[in-house]
Amino acid sequence: MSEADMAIIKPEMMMKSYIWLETTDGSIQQVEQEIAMYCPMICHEVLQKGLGAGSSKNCAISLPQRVNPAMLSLILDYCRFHQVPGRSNKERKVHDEKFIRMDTKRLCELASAADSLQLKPLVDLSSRALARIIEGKTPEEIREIFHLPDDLTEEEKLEPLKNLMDDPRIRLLNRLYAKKRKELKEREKLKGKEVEERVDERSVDDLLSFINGKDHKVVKTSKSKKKNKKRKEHKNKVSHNLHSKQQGVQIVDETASSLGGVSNLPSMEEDIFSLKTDSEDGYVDDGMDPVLKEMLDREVEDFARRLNSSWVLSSGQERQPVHFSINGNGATRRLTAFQVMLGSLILLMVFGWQVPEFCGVTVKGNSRVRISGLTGTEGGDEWFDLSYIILDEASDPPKYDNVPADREDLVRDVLSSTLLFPFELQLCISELELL
Amino acid sequence: SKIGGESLRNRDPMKKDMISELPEALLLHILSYVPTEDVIATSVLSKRWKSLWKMVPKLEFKFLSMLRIEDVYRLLILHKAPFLESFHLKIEDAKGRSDISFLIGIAFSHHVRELVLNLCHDDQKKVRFPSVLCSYNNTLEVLELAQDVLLDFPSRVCFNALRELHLCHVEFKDEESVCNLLSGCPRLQDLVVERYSSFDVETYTIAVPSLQRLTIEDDGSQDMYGGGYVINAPSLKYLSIKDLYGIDFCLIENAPELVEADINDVSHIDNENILASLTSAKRLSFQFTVEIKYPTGSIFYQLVSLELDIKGINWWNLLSFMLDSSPKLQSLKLDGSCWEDCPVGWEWNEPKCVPECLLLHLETLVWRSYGWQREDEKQVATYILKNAKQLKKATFDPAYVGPKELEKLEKRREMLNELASVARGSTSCHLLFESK
Repeated sequence: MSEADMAIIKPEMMMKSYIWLETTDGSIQQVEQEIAMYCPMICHEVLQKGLGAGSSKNCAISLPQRVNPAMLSLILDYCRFHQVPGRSNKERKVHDEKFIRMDTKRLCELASAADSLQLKPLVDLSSRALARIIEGKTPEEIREIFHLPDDLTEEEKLEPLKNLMDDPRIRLLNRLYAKKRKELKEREKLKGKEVEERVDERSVDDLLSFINGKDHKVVKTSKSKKKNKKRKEHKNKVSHNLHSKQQGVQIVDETASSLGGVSNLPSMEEDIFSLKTDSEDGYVDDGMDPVLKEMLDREVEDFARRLNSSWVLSSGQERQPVHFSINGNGATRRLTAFQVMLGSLILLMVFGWQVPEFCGVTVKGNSRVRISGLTGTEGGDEWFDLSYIILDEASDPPKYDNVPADREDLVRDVLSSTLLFPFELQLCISELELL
Repeated sequence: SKIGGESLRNRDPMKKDMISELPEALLLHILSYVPTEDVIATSVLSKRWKSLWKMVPKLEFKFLSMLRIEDVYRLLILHKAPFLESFHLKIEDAKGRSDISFLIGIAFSHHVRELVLNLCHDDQKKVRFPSVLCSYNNTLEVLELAQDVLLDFPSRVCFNALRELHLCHVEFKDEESVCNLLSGCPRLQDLVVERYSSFDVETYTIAVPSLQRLTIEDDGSQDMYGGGYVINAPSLKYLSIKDLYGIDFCLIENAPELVEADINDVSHIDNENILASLTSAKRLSFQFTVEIKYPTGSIFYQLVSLELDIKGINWWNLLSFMLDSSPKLQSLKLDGSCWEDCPVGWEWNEPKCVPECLLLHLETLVWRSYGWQREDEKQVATYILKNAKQLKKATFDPAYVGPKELEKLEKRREMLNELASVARGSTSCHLLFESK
């Protein structure tokens, strides 16, 4: 162009600057700058690549693959309307409602294109529209609308409804326990121990006797009442089994209803004691971890020796509630009472909520409580064992007795540090039972 | 290539899946606008969708539907998203209540940002909110608690990120709990309190330095009297108080940042204090059913817009006071009376000097339900029209008359004509009679 031409053209060009955009199909178009810059992605590209970017056909800004020319045109229309500052909220809303009316296919494309251009208001607008389409429709209808392949087997479709008889909290517990066993196994392997296979030979009845069908309480005020339990019939069985091999799985049961009918028991028992977990979790359990079993056996014997007779409960005897206290800021709050079952071992799971102060466990009288939980550290979870804690309601902080030397630090750390374990299960148990 | 694609499309009888190819984040975003029950139902759509629902960071359980508490647990077990944006729980059956702590704990452990809890049952038993979970929380931003929740905080909570708090008919154990909750939210901006006064605590103290919006709705119709509010919020911008019946006091300490205040249906309390604390406001809206005391000497030096409900006793005195005390007033909206006759022996003393705002600033007057039959309203309207020198637009929406009542209609027209013929103080004033 001659100088004269340039002089004529330049002023016009100065008034409006354009950006060149290229879509993946190769087509290039020219768009007013303020409209194009309304899209964050384009804005970033221009800023990042410097002044030259998009200023001419040759160095056009290439748009992501999900933006085809039709969608680009739509999006630019949207930007053209909204980048004008003077519009009222109502105006914008009315425009959007009209704008979003289009067939489902285009709606999906639009959402996709807006997403790749990072244009959040339009992403939200199209997402809401798609959500409205999905909402309230049967799966068949949704498949029809979006042309989804019906490629799940009948069994797969029923999966979330599987195991209707189980108390899901138990399964959660199982999952956690399985995870823990896995870790233990690995640790033992590292230590070079041999893993023995042991078979659990307890009778079904014995195992079933630990199942507790109590209701748990709502904690309202500090004057919560002790509920009567239906455990009397289990008492004798449990004490009888004191010295036999026992499994350390704790069953936490809250609502009676979930275990109401006898029909529930078999599947539950099956689930707990064979430690089957949801296949989705990827945990395969075929029995009790032998190493842990050994540990538990030792503890059973230990406990039997140290048993404090005042604590022996037999049918009809006094039951003592366990109070889980959190000592935050010096005040002791009773959260709920714990119900612990299963023979001589009382296994409590301590859950991590982010309490900078320690959490303690308080049990009335002299009792031996084993507390296990997870504490998160930089490296990952560590399953600690706070056994041998003597809990005394009056003591603050709780004392611990006979903690093995190598555990002392850990116990102290746990009691004073933040428990980071994801809060998977918080027990609401009603009472402590000790045998 | 393009051509190949086209012919393929023509040949291919099967339609292409439109939506499953979208990036997962976008699909989750779409699903976050869908009610949880429908989200879960998408698990049977196709392979791609089977596990998608587990990652949607919003969970909403309303037990009105077919869900039982056991189902909630089941779903929580299966749910895999590491963070929860929002967790809504509405529990109406008595059994579900006892699991509250449990469920809240799970939500907290998933770093939930918005927690909405609505426990509503016939037996009115309260469920305690697990205060132990409140001693250290960095992620919760919005908390809504409604109905039958007992709040008992013996020590200060720590909700570092909490911006918005709604307390709707919850019960505080004592005044200390109120204090321990509110003082533990250093970033709280928005507080909504709905309660029956004196129901749980006598003096409800709201002392929050960061608070910008406060809404109090106190339905005193429950026959409870006494008690009151103390509001100490130096950053307060928006205040809304409704239905304060039967309480003894409502002390609002200095609110220099106040932009807008809405005081409705407030009566039987020492109202002088309320008005005095609102002097920084730019916009005010009042509805007082009884005569209130006027804080003499207070000047509403920034007030630009005023809305008054003039159904109360001696409303014209309040109007006079406000006109006198609001030198910069530009817009005045009045809500008139439906009652036909003004009280016997009413008397309005016109202001000795024309208020500054009428002379210099008032541009808009809107009078809804203008009581054309009433002498008092007529007199005040006439006064304003005569004296407002800057008035640009005055709109009167006269009180309703049925189309069959011809006599009344005639009378109304007469009155309105009279008003229209008043010599207006502003030459450019546009007078408008609207009928809704």
